[in-house]
Amino acid sequence: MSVLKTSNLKKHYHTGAVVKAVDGIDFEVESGEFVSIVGSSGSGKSTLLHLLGGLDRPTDGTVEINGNLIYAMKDEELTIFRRRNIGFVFQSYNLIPVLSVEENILLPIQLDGNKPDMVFVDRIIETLGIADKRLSMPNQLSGGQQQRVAIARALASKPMIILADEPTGNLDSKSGMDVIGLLKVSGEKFGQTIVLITHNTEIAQMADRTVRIEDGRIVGGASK
Amino acid sequence: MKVANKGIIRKLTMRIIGANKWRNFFIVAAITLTAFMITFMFSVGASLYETVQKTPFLMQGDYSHAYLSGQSEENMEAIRSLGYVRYGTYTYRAGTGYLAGFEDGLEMITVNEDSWRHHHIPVFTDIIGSVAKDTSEIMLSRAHLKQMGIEQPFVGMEIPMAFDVGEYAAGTISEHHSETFILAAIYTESVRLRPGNPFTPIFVSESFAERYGHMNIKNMEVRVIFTNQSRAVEYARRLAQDMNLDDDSEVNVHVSLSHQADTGSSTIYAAIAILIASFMTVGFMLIYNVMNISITRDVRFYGLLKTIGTTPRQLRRIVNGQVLLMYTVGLFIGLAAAVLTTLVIIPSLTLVKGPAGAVISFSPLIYLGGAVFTLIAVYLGAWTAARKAARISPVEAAEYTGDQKINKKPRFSVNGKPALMAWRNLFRERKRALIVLLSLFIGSTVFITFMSIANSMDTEGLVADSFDHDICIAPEWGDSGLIDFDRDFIEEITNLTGVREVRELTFGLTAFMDYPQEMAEADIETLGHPPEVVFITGIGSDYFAEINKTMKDPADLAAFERGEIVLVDEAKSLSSLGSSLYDHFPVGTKLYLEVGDESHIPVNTQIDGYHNIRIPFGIITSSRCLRLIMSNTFLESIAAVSGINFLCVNVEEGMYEQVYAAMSDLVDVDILTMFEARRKVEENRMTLLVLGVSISSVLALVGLFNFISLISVGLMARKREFAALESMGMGKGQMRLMLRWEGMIYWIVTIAASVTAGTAIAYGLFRLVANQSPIEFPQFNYPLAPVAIFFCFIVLICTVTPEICYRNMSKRPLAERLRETESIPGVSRLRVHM
Repeated sequence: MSVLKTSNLKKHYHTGAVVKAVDGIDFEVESGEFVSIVGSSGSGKSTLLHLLGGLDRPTDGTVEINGNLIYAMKDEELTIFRRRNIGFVFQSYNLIPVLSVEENILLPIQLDGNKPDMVFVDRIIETLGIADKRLSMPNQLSGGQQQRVAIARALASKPMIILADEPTGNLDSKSGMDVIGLLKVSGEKFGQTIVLITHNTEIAQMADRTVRIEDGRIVGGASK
Repeated sequence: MKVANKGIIRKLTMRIIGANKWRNFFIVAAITLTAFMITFMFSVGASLYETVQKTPFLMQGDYSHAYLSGQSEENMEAIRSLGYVRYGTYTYRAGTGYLAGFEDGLEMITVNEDSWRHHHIPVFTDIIGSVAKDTSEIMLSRAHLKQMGIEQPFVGMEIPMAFDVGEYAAGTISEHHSETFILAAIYTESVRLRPGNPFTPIFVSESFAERYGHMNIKNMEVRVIFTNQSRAVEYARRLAQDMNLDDDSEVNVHVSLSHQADTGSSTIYAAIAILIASFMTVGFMLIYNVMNISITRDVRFYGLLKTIGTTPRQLRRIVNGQVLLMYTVGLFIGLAAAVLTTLVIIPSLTLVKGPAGAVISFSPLIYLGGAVFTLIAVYLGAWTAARKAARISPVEAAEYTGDQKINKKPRFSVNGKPALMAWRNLFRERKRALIVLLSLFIGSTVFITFMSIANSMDTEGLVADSFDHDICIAPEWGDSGLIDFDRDFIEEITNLTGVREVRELTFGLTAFMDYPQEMAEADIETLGHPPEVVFITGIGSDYFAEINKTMKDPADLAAFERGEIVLVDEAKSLSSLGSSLYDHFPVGTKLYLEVGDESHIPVNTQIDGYHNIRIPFGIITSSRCLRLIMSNTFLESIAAVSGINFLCVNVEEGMYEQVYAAMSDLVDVDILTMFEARRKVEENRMTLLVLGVSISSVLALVGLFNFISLISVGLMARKREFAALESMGMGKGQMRLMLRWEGMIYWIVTIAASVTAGTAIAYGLFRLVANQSPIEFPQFNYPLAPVAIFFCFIVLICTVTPEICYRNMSKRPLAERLRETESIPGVSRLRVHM
């Protein structure tokens, strides 16, 4: 059953000339699947991820998550939907510097006004190997550790989908491989769907499926 | 080895300035406001100082520190050569002139170029013409000419005048002459009316005095200006010693210098110093914050400069160069604003007004002081920023992401609560936040202080201190003292419709007595002679009967009318004698007086009580002086007074306007009314209010600028963080709530600190002012409404600023904001061609 589906998804920028960052993408992801999207720099993979996550509005086309057309929603509604269903992992970690590791991880749950499932959160923290850092501040962690916290944060609210945008971009290759390994294990363990953007083919190969994108179009791996 | 790198440093400095327009705006605004207020405060202080220093001379129409009787030319040379003597000049009494329109004759004295330049030009204004040289030339003031009926005088016009000469010349008898003189110069006196001497003398040439044989040592008076006015008494003593002057040639110091009354000026100077320090502090705080934020944002750029070989010293020069350029611009605007404000505000500023008006000081020291003190604030503000720029490590700069480094573990959990997150955010920039809070606190505290003082001022009490009655008709000075009112005139006043009662007083009667030894010694020490004068105010029996009602132990009216008992005019005596009044003149003290300036009528009397005669009129003396209240009936019986020279009138309710108008038609002298006094006092209070509100508004404005710059720049630096929060589902409502809380914490802390500590400080300063000021401050009235409005303004700014900043920031799509790596807006626009 597909949990994520796009139809003729387009994102065009009008900056003098028309830049077609995403140009008519039809794409589906099954529940629990780990998909990597690869492509050269400027191919439109990050824009696609933003559109998948409801962070940007498409020029045309639709994104359907678990049967919900997300761009039919109003801003506030979309924000809440995103909070409950999508987890993000960014290249630059984007941790909140004034919050401790644990507070960063719990933040999305608390923003939704829910009580965190601490047993679940503890398991995530244990799995990601940051149990001894839970009271540390982001500034006190290495890049790899920070990215693990970002992954934990993405997993903690039990979203259906985790969207990871070049999560290893700022890490050395060993740390990068470790992080993706943990992401995969966590995804499997907690039953979450993962869409990962990378330009590292070695990392891409760790996914169940690899989608290749060039000039805003899918050139391979659109379906299983 | 010296390297010619000035050009490139300057270019870099200019480019960075060009790329940071908002930062520049805040810094230039801070420098402008700081320079403006510091300079203005210096102006107020200097003008007050000059007013206090100059007023006695303006009143006299002669700027001299000391006077000596005639000296030989040899002695004159010796006096001039003394190190502490700046100028030594002389004048000759040349006779008595009778100008048309004048009842009595006026003294004629000689002037020459030196005496005119040093002693008269400083105290006269609008001088036209030149010093009288020819025998037929005279110099008159516009007041003289107006009295003569000449409305449009001109230099060279003919002035007929009769004059007596010879009465001063040894062995000569007075001769009467008439002549037509030529007006050589016209000038304006600062004050026309002076006790006992309403006009300046008529100035004539030395050749005139020579013609009539007045150029001799007996008619000569030497005037001295010392190098230091504040040491005039000491210099006068030295002058007497150095010149071996005998008793006949004693040095008389100008009365204002021999008796420096405490006018409360020291409190004003202290307040000015506190305000200058406050302005320096808030100016420094804003510059410090803005420059530090700016350097933090430009870390990569400065790191890059360091990587390519810019030395720490050069980096400091780049930062200091930016600030100095902005200082030049801000200083120029600030000084110009200060000059304009000085011209507009100081003349109406009560606290710098003397009896002869305010003397506006434009001393270069004011502007130099403003520039230097502002520079200190600017330099201190920029110093840490320059040091920070110089210490940036290239490696650190390359890795800089814009995220703040927070190492301290939090003390409480935020649980996703916007308010708690806001609190945590507030202290991510602890030092900057404290500086903003402190500057807002200073502004609020100064506001509360000024408003409390103005609000607690007992204007009614001040008026009541001067007036026992609704209207007073002040006496007019004649050539031989105060002029008595005509009986018919008193009758007319009494019969005016609406007049309830008229009290007849005699004012300014002089008596003489031997003061207690202790007082005599003190005056000999400071003045060179013991006190001897007593001023007497004579009152009628009806007034005494009314006073008696207010006395603890009513006095015997018959004994009062027989002159056996007198009352001490308490407030006036106290201000002259101090608390020693009660030690030396307790109730029951027997006094032996010689009443009358010339008649010296012996009177034995006894002090029976104390009372304040509240009349808005007084005589100032340098010497200590007891003021007594005596019976008019008694004074008339011993022929000490021949008439009434002061009237106090009470009117029926609602009849004030009518009585005042009728009186104005009847008399040509000053009518002093309680209503007018109330209006004037209220005007003064308003001046204080406007000044206080303006000063504290500027302080608060600088504080708010600091807040706005911190919030706007701080939020810009956190934009990626906001994007991340939004991406993980933080709604815009939640985001706004968090930011509103951030602003709210600032205003809550500011208001809480101002209401508690600020009020305590305001109360302390209020007490200080209340103890020093002649104005009554019965109780501390908290200015609730103005402070509430002031706080509302702070709340508004603190609430709206984060909201506006976030709104502007969130206009761009979330994906775009997330994608944006930490760029430095200012630096990204830089194009430096090396």
